[in-house]
Amino acid sequence: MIPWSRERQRRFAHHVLLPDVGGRGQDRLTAATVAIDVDGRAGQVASLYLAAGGVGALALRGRGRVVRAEFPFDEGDVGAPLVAAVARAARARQPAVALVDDDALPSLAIVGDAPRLPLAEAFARGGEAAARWLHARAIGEAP
Amino acid sequence: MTSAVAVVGAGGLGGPIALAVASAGHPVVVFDDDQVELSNLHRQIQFTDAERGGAKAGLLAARVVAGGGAATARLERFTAATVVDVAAIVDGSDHAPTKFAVAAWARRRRIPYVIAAAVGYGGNVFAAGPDDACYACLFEAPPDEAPGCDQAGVLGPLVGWIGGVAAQAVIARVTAPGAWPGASIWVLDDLRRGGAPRTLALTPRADCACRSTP
Repeated sequence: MIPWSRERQRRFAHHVLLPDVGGRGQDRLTAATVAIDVDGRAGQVASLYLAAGGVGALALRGRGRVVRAEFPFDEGDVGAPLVAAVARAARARQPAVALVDDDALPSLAIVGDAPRLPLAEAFARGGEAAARWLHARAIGEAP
Repeated sequence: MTSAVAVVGAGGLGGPIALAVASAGHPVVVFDDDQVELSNLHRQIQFTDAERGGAKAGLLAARVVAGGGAATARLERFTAATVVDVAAIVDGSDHAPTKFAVAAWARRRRIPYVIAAAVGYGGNVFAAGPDDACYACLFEAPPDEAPGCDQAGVLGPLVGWIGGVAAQAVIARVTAPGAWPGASIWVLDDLRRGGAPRTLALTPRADCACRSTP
């Protein structure tokens, strides 16, 4: 287990306060890997929420490239593979997150995700999928 | 006529709201007097680790502009006396009196408003036009004691979900001026119960002050 440094306590203070998460649930998140398809915008948003929320490792999948410097991408990301650009954005938000390959894990299910999804829908769909998965994993009910 | 939207709060809800509203083509004016803290970063994905200590409103506006949108930062709390020219206002603050102030301010200026809240595992999004049932018709007055995220905690991605729903509500009202749907509230009781959120249509409360003082 990762020790509970002052920094880690402070970063995840709002999770540790939650019934069902607490320190034990947050440790489960740190030990977890989640697979996400990032060709759709909701998957990109979900990746950042999962990284920021303390998931230990992301297995990002996708074939597309960044076409515009719109959130969560910067000008320097345009033309880069989406997998690399989402990984960079995730690490900028939670430097401890690991990026791994894991072909066996099923991808996070996000209904109706698409590359041109309006950003409001991407937040709603990606946020919902990430929230449900985080809770399930914190209580030990997600792989 | 402006299609700008005021966004009150640049935190967990205000971040997704400002980014999504600007992405839909509407300039945003972001109000917040707070700075980015480490304990914000588990849910406020508009900010990076390197931005700790920076002014939230300025950083969020800069992120909107970097993404091709239009944004202005106001490093101050929104109050009843605030002056800003916008077509709609959306509240993502964590301060109940501010939510009531936003609702009253919008009704006086006869513009639509959306008020979002998230704590723990649930939240809601209230949306109304100036002649509809008002925020006080439903909630009456700010509670004396309401646990916020600092006391009760909040699941990080929940604010993205609820912020996205709030952004959709305000975009719909700015895109179709004058043809607003009536007052409604979207409610997520507790995601742990597994059910889908509900949307309820609201009618005015007969003894609410809004029925006698427009």
